[in-house]
Amino acid sequence: MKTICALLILLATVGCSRRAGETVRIEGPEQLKGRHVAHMSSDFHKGTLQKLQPDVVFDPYSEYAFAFESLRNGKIDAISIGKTYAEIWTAKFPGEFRVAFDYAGDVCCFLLRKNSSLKARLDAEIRKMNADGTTEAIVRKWVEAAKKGTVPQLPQVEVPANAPEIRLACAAESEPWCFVADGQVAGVDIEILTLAVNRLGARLSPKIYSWGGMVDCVNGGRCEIACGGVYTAGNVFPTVDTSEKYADERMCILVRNEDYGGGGSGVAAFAKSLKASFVRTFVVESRWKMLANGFGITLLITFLSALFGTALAFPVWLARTSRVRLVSSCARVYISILQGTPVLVLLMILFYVVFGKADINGLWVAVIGFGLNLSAYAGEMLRSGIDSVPRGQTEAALALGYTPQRAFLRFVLPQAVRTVLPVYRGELIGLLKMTSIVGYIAICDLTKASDLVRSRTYESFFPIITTAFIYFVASWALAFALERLGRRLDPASGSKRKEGAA
Amino acid sequence: MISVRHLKKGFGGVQVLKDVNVEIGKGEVVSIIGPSGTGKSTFLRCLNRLEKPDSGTILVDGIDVTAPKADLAAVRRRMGMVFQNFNLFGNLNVLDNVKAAQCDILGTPKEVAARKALELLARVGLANKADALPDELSGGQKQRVAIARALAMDPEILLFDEPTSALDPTMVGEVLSVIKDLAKTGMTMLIVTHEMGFAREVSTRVLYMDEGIVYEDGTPDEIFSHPQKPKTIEFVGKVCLKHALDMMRLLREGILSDGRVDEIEAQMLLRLSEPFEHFGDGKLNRIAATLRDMLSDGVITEAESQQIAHILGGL
Repeated sequence: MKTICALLILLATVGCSRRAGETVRIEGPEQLKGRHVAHMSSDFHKGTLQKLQPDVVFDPYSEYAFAFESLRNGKIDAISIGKTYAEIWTAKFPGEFRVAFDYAGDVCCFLLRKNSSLKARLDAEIRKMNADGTTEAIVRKWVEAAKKGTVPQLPQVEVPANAPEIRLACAAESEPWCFVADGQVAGVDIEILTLAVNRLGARLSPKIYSWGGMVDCVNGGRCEIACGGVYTAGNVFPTVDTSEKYADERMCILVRNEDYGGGGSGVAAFAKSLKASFVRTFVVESRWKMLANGFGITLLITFLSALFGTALAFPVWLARTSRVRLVSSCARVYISILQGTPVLVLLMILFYVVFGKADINGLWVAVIGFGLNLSAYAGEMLRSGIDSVPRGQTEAALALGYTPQRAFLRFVLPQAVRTVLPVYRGELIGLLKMTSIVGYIAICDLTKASDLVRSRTYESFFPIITTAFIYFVASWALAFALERLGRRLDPASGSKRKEGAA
Repeated sequence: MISVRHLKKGFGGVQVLKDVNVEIGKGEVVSIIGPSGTGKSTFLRCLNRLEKPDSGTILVDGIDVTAPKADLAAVRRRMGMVFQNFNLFGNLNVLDNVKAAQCDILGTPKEVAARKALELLARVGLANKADALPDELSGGQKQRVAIARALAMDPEILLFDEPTSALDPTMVGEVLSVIKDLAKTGMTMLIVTHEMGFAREVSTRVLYMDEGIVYEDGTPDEIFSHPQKPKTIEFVGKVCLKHALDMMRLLREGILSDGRVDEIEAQMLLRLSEPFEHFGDGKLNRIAATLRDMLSDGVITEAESQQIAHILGGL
């Protein structure tokens, strides 16, 4: 689903032509009057800009990659963005963009659980590193590398075998602060925290979450620290504490460079840029591996959830059709709750509340969540399928000497399965696509991998089209496989007939 | 062979079977007739324990079917059942329907079971339908397959629960002829039916069930021509008159007409008023009363009632 949304955004972005009558050069807040400015949900400086120019039109975006595409295509006029990002972008795509003006100050820091004893000790380490210039050097190193498109090595630290673990939730889509390279989380935040935590005699174990998810993690007690390019001037995360700052940051307005002549035109230029995009998306840092791993995870979650949910459908059906009023009422409530709750919300509840403190892999939480959801639907499907088999057939089997259980398995169930298979198939394909939300609970599936790649390439076209294509092929293959299964169950099919005639 | 004593069965406060007592010997072909809702089917279903009796005993070959630890599967294996709605297994073709229980329950090897199934299908005239699915058959064909399926288990007793009630009139004949052939083989059979002509022809014994008991028990001749008890007379009389009316309708539509309509009608009525003979001189009054009943039940129209009365007046 997320992929489809992203695809729609992309199409809207590509389909829109450059705005006409764009003569005034944007130099300051005055020229932003009536202009469209992309604004991230993670950016808390909307109010500041609005004070400078009340007539600015904010277009909300979920990712810089999309905003970047829109700016390029003229759908928007500017992006409100951290200056560090802006500098990297202008360096990576020379001449295409320029920083129009700065409008607010901010600081870079980490997030910690409220009133955590860790805060004082971590702050002390950061202050020390700020004082001796370590942090400044680290920031400079990663920013320069990002501009050049290289990735520095993280420092190797000696960790005692019995060192306590400090869990870090990362939103890894913000080069140079925190991002994924060669399948590993890297960046300024990781280096600083690795050094600081090491000095505290502990071991840092980072895990990738989403922007919103990492705050929930710290709140729920799943992690001690969260990072990922957190700027915070003022208390914008009321539920968590912020650490000592490790760098200063400015918010700025990035616009198209009016003097930019473009990267050439014609088929050759297009092919060249396409090839470059392909290389950036798949080849550099072996990003195809990350996408392939993500696809593997998507398939694994789909398969296990389908297995678990289908197995669970039987007890759900039994309970639902129980003659004990209390049991059937409970089953009814179970079904209506699960059918009436978005799976994403269910996953969040499971991950951050039910298993909030438990050290359980997100993958299992996803399997449980999707499995529970599927069981509610599959249980009802099973019920309608079994009800559709005339009761008389069971009686006929009993009259021939079958036990009720055997009659059910031999005659009723095969017919029930055949009846519900088309609906069930749709449900499984829905499940496959629905797994695209697991990025919220720290699982790097296909969609999340594509998000991470986009955050590095600042390009949406290739990762999204590829992702959509892979989902489509997988859905199609799944539909095909289930279709085959359905034909095997159908007595009207050829193979069964031959066997019968033999 | 079957001995039923003080059988009682109720459904949600309605006592359907109040006290059924009957002894059925080997080789008997017993038709069970009676008005709807008098527990004929329930009685049949109690015999192979598809319904659990409230009280009473049912002995089949000396084995108590109603005992809590009775081996139901064993009892059912020896008692085949044919249902009103055929109840063929929808996921199996015709051959497998006949074959399945032999393999699953008796452990017969596949080839042997298949050969036997084909023989039985040939016997009911459906050998060429072995590969067909139940959905592809007509009602009459389905019921013949269902009979073959029951026979495949080599039962000692066959129970027929209204085998032709769900059939199109044109298909009743083919099913009844199969049952008639079976009756000649000396198999013990219990048949719940509304086909009176068939019951009369095929059975060695007829049970009239009413008021939750076996109300009257006798040979087909005794029950259909000389019923003794009022409810039986009423029922058989109604059936006969209804039959007569159906015949008259056909006559009037010219289907059977050969120009002697009145004479044929009179003869027919005479024969079909046989059950009322018992009333002697009161016979006509009795028939008139029955006609009024049928009129108020909506079974016949005012005109038809008058027509019958007119013909009877001429007797």
